[in-house]
Amino acid sequence: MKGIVFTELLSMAEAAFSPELVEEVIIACDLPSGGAYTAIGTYPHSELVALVSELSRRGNTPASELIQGFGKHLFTTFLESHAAFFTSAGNTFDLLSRVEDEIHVEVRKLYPDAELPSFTASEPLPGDFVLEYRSSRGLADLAHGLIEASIAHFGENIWFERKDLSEGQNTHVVFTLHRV
Amino acid sequence: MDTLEYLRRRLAREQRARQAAETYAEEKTRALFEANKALEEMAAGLQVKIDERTAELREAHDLALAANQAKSAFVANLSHELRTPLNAIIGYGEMLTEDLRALEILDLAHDAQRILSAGNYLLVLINDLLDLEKIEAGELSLLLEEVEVEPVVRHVSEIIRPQVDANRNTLEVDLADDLPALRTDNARLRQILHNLLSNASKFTKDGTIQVGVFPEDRAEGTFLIFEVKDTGIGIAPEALPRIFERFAQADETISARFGGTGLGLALTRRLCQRLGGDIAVASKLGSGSTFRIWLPLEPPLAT
Repeated sequence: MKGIVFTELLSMAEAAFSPELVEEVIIACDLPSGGAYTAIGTYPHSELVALVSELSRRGNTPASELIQGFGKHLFTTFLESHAAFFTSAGNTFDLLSRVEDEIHVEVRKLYPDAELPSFTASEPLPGDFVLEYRSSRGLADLAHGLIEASIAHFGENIWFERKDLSEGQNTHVVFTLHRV
Repeated sequence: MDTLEYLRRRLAREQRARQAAETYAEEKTRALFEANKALEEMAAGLQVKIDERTAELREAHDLALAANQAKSAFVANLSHELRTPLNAIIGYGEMLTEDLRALEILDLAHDAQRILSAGNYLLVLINDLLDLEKIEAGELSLLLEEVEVEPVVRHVSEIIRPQVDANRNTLEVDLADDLPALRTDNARLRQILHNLLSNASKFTKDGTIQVGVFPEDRAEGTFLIFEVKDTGIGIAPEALPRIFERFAQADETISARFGGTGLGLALTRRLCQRLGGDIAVASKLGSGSTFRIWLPLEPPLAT
């Protein structure tokens, strides 16, 4: 898993809880990396699982809520680092439909080893948008947070449903968005 | 955890993270450097290959050019050598024909006339070949003078008349009023017109051959357009692009049916180009051909 996920998670947790709590979480997790993350590195997915569950426990926050919040936080980070892309996207449907074919393509150029989730987008009816998330990481909540953040960012009147097709594993989830 | 302990741990983590990032950056930089070097080497290798191929091509080109020049020189020499005995054959053929006629041995005179005609035809071919080779070798010199078009066309029409009549064709001449004089090579212009009219009368039977001359203003100056239009057999579309090439007749049966070597149009085009113009053709199989040549009033070339 790319280092930026870890550095951003810790930075969000420091703001949401406290730097001391984050430090205690890192000690408790006894991570192979020791929590010394750099954004350009790559680290085991298991460290993210350990960090999230420990943060959830010590911060008294459900993991799903934590990950959704992390999705929103990541959106803000990307917004700052890739402003032009968000300007050119213009709205949520457009942005989401370009994740797979543009964003991920660019990510792979920089990080050929990146293991990325798959996002299949379709617009069956005008005003309806279906995004299918597939990833062995089971981070549908992260996608959930990103979608919410996007709708808020573009100031759109969109509501969406989420259906888990992987028996609660969050590895195959369909998001259906409706523009009001 | 007190603040000092927290800060110490935090610092230690940041330091390790920085080191990891530096190692990563160094590895990537090295990888980029290696990739860049490999690309540069590949590019250099390609350049060497390109240079080699270019040299090979140039060599092949020079060889081909030399071979072509040697061939042209050979043909020119051979044609010269052929003309000497041929002139003797034609000269004695003329004398013999006249003598036999004078002696009123008419059947033999007729035979002698055939030898003479064949000899004259052969001479035309050899002259064409020689001209072509001269042009290709850049050795054809021109005699430029003010040429009035009307007498030239009239003269060529008279000469070609027997050929036109032989196939029961009608010859129509249409010259624009006030045609300007042309600065060109009189003999070559006659040769060009003769060639086109000869072709037209050969490939047309019971039809019409029209000759038209008119001026045309173009960006490069004023040109005279000579058009020879017939109602003959025409040329197949697939043969059109090749008919100005040497030894390329519209199809292989032409030579057997109508005679000729396929030199005439190649020579005509080279002559037109040498005189600063060119030739084009439009044709439809079965309904005739139109050959159009254009020559500048002043040829933009050295003699």
